[in-house]
Amino acid sequence: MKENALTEILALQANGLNVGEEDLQTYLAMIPGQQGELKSLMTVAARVKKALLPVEPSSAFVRGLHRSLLAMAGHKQPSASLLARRGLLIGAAALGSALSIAGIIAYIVYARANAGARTPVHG
Amino acid sequence: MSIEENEAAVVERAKEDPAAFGLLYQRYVKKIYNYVYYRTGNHHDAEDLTARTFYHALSNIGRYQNRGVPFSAWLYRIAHNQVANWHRDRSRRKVIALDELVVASRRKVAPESLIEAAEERDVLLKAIRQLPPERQQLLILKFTTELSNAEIGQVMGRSEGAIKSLYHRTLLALREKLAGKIGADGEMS
Repeated sequence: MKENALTEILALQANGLNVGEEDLQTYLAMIPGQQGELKSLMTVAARVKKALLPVEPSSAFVRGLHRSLLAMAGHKQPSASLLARRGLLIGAAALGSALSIAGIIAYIVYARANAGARTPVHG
Repeated sequence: MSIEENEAAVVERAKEDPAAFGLLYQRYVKKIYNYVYYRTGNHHDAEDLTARTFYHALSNIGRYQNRGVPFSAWLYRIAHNQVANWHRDRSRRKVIALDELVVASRRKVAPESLIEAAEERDVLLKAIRQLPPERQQLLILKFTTELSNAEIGQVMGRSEGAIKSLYHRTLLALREKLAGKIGADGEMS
């Protein structure tokens, strides 16, 4: 139970550190029985927060990578007109294939019908 | 990107529109850079791995779907994997981080108060780098990129409660390391 309370208070203090609240008293008052333990852990947390200060990447790097990503994205994404042209080509190819298949089927049907008409009747 | 703009909509647009991916890049580049910097300890590798993270994200954004993992968490996971690969490669060949050398040389010329502050930071960073990777990840996500426990949970695939407990245990471990002034192979003592 006390362990859970400590965990919750430490989480609260961490949030506080991120918004610049460094005063420990409010948190210490929340759990009178374990002030020593809480204070020592909160002090470690405050030191960690100071050590892990945000760093700034160089602006040349940020700009350069941005340009490079946009160029890469440009190559990856075909333009709308290219897509439309590609769509037309695919459509025409599909239509051509369908017509060819229909032609072959029509020829087979025609050939069979003719063959049937020419077959002599025995009897 | 305005704060109000729905990130999910921008992510969807970014699958087709490079400019929308550019907006996401601008929003996250510094955060990803910071995460990678503290996991690697030097700017050179931070730049390299940040670039790899965004190249990978751009190549795979078409496949990204928000199934309880927001875009930011997806991006941090990519960065985390890049860092893990980097550590794996690095463990095969022992390298001294450049920034560690820069700090060492700066110490010789800086005023005493600055030296003390730099030394305190060095001790802390050394102790943090001695922690298991997931605990380092937690501290950096919490204090450098300032994610909430719920957001950290989404990145690390754990519940918010599990993140709070892990944070508590991490502080206990760190206190122990600092009391012993690091030790193991992190020297100092």
